[in-house]
Amino acid sequence: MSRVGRLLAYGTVAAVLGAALAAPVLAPRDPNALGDDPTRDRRLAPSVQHPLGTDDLSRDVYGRLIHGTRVSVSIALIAAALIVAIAFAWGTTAAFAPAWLRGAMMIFADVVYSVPRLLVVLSVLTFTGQLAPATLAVVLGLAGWAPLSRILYRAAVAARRAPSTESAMALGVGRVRIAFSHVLPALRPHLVEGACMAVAVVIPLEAALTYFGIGVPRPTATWGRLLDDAGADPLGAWWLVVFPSAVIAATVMAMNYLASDARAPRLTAEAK
Amino acid sequence: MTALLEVENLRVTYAGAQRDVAAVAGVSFAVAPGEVVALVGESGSGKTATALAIIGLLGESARIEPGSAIRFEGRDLLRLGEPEFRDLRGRRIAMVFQDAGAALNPVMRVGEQVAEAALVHGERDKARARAMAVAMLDRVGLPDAARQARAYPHELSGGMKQRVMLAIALLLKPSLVIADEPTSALDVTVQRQVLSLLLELQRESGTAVLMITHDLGVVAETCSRALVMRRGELVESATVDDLFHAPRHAYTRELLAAMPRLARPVPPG
Repeated sequence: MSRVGRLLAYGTVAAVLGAALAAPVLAPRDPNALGDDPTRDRRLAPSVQHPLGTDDLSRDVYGRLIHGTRVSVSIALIAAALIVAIAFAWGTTAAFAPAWLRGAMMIFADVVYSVPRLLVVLSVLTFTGQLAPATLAVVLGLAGWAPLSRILYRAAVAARRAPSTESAMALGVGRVRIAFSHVLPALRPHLVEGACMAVAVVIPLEAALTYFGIGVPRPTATWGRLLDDAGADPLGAWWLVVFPSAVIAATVMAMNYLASDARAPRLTAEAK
Repeated sequence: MTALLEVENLRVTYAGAQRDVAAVAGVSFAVAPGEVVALVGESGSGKTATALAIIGLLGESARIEPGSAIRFEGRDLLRLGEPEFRDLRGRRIAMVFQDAGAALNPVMRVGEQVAEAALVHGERDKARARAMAVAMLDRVGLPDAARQARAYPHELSGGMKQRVMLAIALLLKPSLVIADEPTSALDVTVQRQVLSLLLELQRESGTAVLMITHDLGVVAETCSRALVMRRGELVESATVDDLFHAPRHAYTRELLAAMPRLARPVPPG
């Protein structure tokens, strides 16, 4: 990708993370507070006072977007961390396990993988009802580790059988050291890529679930909640749809870029 | 003469999809201390499987049949537990691989990789291991070894990488080095340098070398004795002189005939 593309991608991610971290500073007002006169302040178009307008209940969209970023990003990060952690543990354990156990572990991963993620999450939510953001993040994480575990498993097996690993073994290097000095470095790009992809998948999933009213409960602002708040007649108030959609789309695209950037072979200083 | 390495009736079988394949079908030979022996044969003749069996690195799809024995320095390697075997590897038996570019860890500095040999075998002082590594890299002819020790494998040429492999293998002065096609990935001129370096080091440390190769030129230049393998069996065991001048087995004669030679110069006129 071009320098501009790279700048845009990293800039987007930095801005989103910055907004999530500094939400109370960037938007000190309670994101759920109504306007001074709820009837008059409904569905106001963007202005100096409300840079992104107000919604049906006269709440400031800018404030809700900033605080929603905090919640949506937290959910995505927790879920992604869980996905990477479980996939790493499962994949590498299988790669070093005896043949029968390895096969069983990967069949289990395939079974988990074969059940659509949305279906898993929907069934869980049917039993539990709407969940607090952190709990929802855990559910999303538990439902999404299988594909990455397969990727990490393959990469670990390949690294284990690589000639450099074999020559280290011929040197009498032990298993633990093999794992840390040969297998782990080979997994690093897959881990970074997997983490970025997990974020890129979880963000729209949370938005969709919340939009359909089964994700994060009202009135907590998240990116999905903002879309839901656009209400039945979004065309009359474009700012209610455009800003959250743009933020979601930009973030997902940026994370996809980061993922492919992690996978791309890097030119060394001399090769440039 | 007591043998350093004695392989007796070695049989290695690989589990195939339909049926098992015997890669090594009852091979026996011995290597004396300090001797340079060639193990010759075409691809698939079982020479690498033999080598991997000796150093205990056959994959899990391979199995050593009962009745086989590999004795090294008086111990039966096939009865050795993994921790004891690991202690032998790199210290008493070392291996030089064919493609140094693939065999070196791409994300570790070469000096560290040489030092690792010492560190995994009881050297606790990292600085001393590093000093040993630099001295060894200097010995194998890496120019400006102290600086080059900080290089990553991709920064070195093929010949230099193979020199690093030799440094790793010979750092702890093992009594046996198994060299699996150590020069076939190199240019001919570089091949000669690496081979003569291997022989120099071998003489210095009194190490025996089992040279696995399909290149009879390498055999003629470096080895005193040659074992010829074909389809998992040992078909000939002879001194290199006899091998080239009085080959007994038909297969050996075929191998010799297949060797490229310089054509006789065309007489002028």
